[in-house]
Amino acid sequence: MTTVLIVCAVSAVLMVFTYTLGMYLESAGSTEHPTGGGDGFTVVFVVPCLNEERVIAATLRHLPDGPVLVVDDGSDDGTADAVRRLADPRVRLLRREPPDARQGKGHALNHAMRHLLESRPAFRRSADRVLVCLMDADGRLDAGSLDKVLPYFADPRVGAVQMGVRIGNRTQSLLTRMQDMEFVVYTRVFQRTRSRIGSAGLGGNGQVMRLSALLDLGDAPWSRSLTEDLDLGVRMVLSGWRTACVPDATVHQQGLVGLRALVRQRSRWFQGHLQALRLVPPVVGRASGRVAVDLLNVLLSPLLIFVGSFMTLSLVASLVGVTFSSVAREQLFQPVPIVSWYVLTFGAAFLLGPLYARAGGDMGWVRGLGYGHLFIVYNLVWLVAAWRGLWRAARGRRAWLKTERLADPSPGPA
Amino acid sequence: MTPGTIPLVTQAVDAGGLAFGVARLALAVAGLLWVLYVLAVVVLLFAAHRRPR
Repeated sequence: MTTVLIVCAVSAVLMVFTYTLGMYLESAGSTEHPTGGGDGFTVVFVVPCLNEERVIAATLRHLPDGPVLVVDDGSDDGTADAVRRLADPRVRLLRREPPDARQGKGHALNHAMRHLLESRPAFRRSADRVLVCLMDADGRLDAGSLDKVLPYFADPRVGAVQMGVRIGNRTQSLLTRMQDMEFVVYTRVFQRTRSRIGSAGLGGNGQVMRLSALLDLGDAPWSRSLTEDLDLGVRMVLSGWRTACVPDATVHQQGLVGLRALVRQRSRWFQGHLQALRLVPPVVGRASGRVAVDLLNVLLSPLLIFVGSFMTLSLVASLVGVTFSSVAREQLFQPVPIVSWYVLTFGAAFLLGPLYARAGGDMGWVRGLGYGHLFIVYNLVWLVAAWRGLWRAARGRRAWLKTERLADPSPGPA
Repeated sequence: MTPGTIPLVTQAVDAGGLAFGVARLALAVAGLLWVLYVLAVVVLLFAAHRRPR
């Protein structure tokens, strides 16, 4: 029985690699750009904030034309003052005070939605032509990104579009470089293919939504989940809307420079992913075809991280065994076992490394291949984060400290 | 430790040390989780396909 399960484990590696290869090949096909125009839409920017004094002013200065709603969710730093000092007539500051404040990003966004509908009643009547662009307080849109997104909404079935995310400070350290690669791989390989199915994931930053699609989810469309963006995307698809991803439209955000902060952030995401398991029954009840396959795969994917963690434990234990056993050393330090282990472990680096080099355009494929190998190692972060997230979920703890921002080095035009 | 598990542990030690026993066990758990994942996806897809429309 044990041998059968071990064979299953090895087949898991091969099947996950095959899945990644399939997504890679599917995403490598020609990109279908929408033929319709993107004129006639009103874009409202919504920027939720909690202690963002270091970055908020520069972010607001960089936003394209359009009304901006800043939701200050109970900041106790100088966020509100920084917004007021801008004195930008486009910007409306919406302050939430305790006890309503700090109940989660979803609550803050629902509050913004209510305010938007009350202050602009006309938006409800023309909800098909009103778009809400959600930006993180450290988000930076590339010039022209919005123009690339708007034509997608000419298709009346499209409810939301996610831009590609890049890490603005990717050259700062190897850790920020790996986070950048993570977002590029996710966008270029997985999101692109999911976009063709019509069920691209939403990520919170650089996320543009049709107001009518939000209203379909009720007057409080965002859930209390730790990953309210994941929830929103799935529920939107279940309501019959398509969600798309536009890799060529880019939003930049800060990467985390400390490993501890990164693990904490990913643990929060993982715990949010566990909360999203409650969406499995609605998916079974309402989705079908490739959309059902995709959504179920995404919602159940936390289980795959635990598969990976036990495989890693097995590898570590094997290395310990080899260290203490001369017989095992003689048997395993042979070309076939070593090459087999290398291919099973680092095979994906040969796909993802060159892809990252091509997408970034700032390095050769050899360097990309090197980053590809480091990327495999970097993903161990997820294993630690998964166990931490599971532990917190088991203990019923769902309050998380917010990720600290770095000072913004590029304040932008005054 | 029950008498039944003693031969298993001894066998693991003989086969290259306790560490290899742990490695084998961890790989088996990984395999079990993978089977659970595949079964869950297949069963849920089947349920989605069979639901009344």
